[in-house]
Amino acid sequence: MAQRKCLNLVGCVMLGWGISGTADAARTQLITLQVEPQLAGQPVMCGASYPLQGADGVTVRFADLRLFVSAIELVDVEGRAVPLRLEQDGRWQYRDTVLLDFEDGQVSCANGSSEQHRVITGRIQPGRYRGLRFMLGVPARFNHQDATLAPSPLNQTALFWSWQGGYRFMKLELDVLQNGQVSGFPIHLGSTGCQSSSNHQPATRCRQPNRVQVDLPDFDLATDRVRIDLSTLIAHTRLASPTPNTAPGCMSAPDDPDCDGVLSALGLTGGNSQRVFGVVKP
Amino acid sequence: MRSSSRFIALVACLAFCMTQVMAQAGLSVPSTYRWPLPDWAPRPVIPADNPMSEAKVALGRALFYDKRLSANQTQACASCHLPAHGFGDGLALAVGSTGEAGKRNAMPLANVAYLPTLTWANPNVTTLEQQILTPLFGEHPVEMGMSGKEQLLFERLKADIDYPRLFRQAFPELKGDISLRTITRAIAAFERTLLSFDSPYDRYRYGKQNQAISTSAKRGEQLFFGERLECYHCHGGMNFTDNQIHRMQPLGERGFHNTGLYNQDGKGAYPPGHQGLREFTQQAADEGKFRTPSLRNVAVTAPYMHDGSIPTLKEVIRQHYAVNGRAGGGTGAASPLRSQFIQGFQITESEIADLIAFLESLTDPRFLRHAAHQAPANRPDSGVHPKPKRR
Repeated sequence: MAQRKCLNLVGCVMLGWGISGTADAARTQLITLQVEPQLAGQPVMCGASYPLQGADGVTVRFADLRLFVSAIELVDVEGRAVPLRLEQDGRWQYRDTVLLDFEDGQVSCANGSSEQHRVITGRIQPGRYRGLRFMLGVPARFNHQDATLAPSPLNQTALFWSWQGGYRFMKLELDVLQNGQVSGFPIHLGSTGCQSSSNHQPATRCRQPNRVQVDLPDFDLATDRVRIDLSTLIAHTRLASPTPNTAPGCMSAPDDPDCDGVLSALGLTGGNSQRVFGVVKP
Repeated sequence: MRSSSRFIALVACLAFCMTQVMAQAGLSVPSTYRWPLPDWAPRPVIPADNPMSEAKVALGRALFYDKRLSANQTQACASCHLPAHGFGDGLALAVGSTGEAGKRNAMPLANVAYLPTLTWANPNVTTLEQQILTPLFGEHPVEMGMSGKEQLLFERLKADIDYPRLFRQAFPELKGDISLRTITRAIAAFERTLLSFDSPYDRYRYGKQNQAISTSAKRGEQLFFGERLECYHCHGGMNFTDNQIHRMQPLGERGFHNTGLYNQDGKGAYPPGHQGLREFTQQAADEGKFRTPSLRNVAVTAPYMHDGSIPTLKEVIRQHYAVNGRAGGGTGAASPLRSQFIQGFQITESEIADLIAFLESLTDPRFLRHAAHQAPANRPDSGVHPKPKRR
């Protein structure tokens, strides 16, 4: 019943917040961060097609995008990073981790679900903020726990990566259209090469943690949105002719050529910073 | 009511209440479960949060045979784990509910309670509760196809005429909650009851019944445990594998080995997608290492190896182990990565027959036919679909 205790603890903490809630609300401001994934410069939509994608310039159809973001901070004009306290909605946002979901279960997204979560909501102390930071990924302290006991959103089986002993941090799925044929190209990002320090501990030390630190130094809370540039993510990947005898699409395997461009665009290999997340200015 | 029986009732009630209070307080309730084990067999180690109970086993059994656990309702756990095949499926590679071919030979489940790691080569899957998530929710390959559909699964079970009651009986402390937590724990509890310790060889070796196995099998036993063949180095212990964990050996032991089945580049490479332990450790030395399978009921679990690539026991002996590993047979070069115990051996046809007679003596007919292991009666959706054709 450790979980119930834990829940009670969470309840108490929440209650604590509740009691000071009004004062808290007065002292903090509610922030909504809009997140906009794009293909070919357009917002992604289930059923929509986007031409000239990937290294081979093929047409793709959007099928799924869900991702975990955590450790969200705003940076003030003095350069201090202040954590955003996520609204604990019992569904999408838990502690400092949020699941974003951009598919609605319709047409090409039929494998998904109708619910979506396209914004991040949280509270922050008033200040003059000019930048945004966050991490793509589930924090290590949650990533290797027993998923059958996890609270929402960490109980969403679509994001389970049981084979790797953790979660998919990002699940992007595209239908590749070529010569009247449709093939799938899935990109699943998560920690790989994880090992346990003993026979009785879950694996925790991962050779490729694959968490992406995103730093957006020029972000205006009042007007700007976070862009996820999926075209940049797949720009150097042959979508219609992936390497034979490797995993489907890119499953974060460091030795799969179909992952080279993806991992490089995310700044996980090649020594450059990530190029996928950016800012949409009005 | 006489006072003595009233007293007994009071004690029983108090005991029940104490159990409930302890469960509520998060203390582990002393399990009254009686393991159906012979005296000589050590008890399995079970996760602290999943004590055994008859009610939990009954629920797990119903779930194990229920096709509604797959998205398209065509496949149960038992579709790939059939009692008559030692809870394997008789196919080279498992086939998922959508017809997608799997990557591995479905593993037999006899004495799975004693394994420190589950699956062919994943070192990180250490409990059945965890392992169950892969066939249910895995997507590469799709097996049960339930990824993202867990609410549908819960709704199906809640709408059933029996499940709400079975879950309440199995998980009173959780008020019969139908969730991943309870589904995985019930199935795991059932799987831990798949105990095979009554083969003719068990009767011969532990039961001291000298006539339980044939003289041919006894000669095969000498070969199996002898230094010429070296089988027992990896296939030792009560389950004929160097992977085990139990109450008398709570730290457990693990064994992953390369048997030289493949050598595609002269350096020991296995085919893509068959790297074994290396997939997880990313160490070149772990190429082609797979967890030693148990040999209990091995005569009914053909075809053999992680990819089902050897059809018969005779071929496993003659065309694989006797020749330094199959890759070294014929014109090929023996794998430089193979275990030191794979050195090849001279063996006659009659010795092979003896060795197979010994391996056949590990078949436990009562285990294969045990009523408690079969699909429960009177369940609408239980049972397994017809075996797909061999590919």
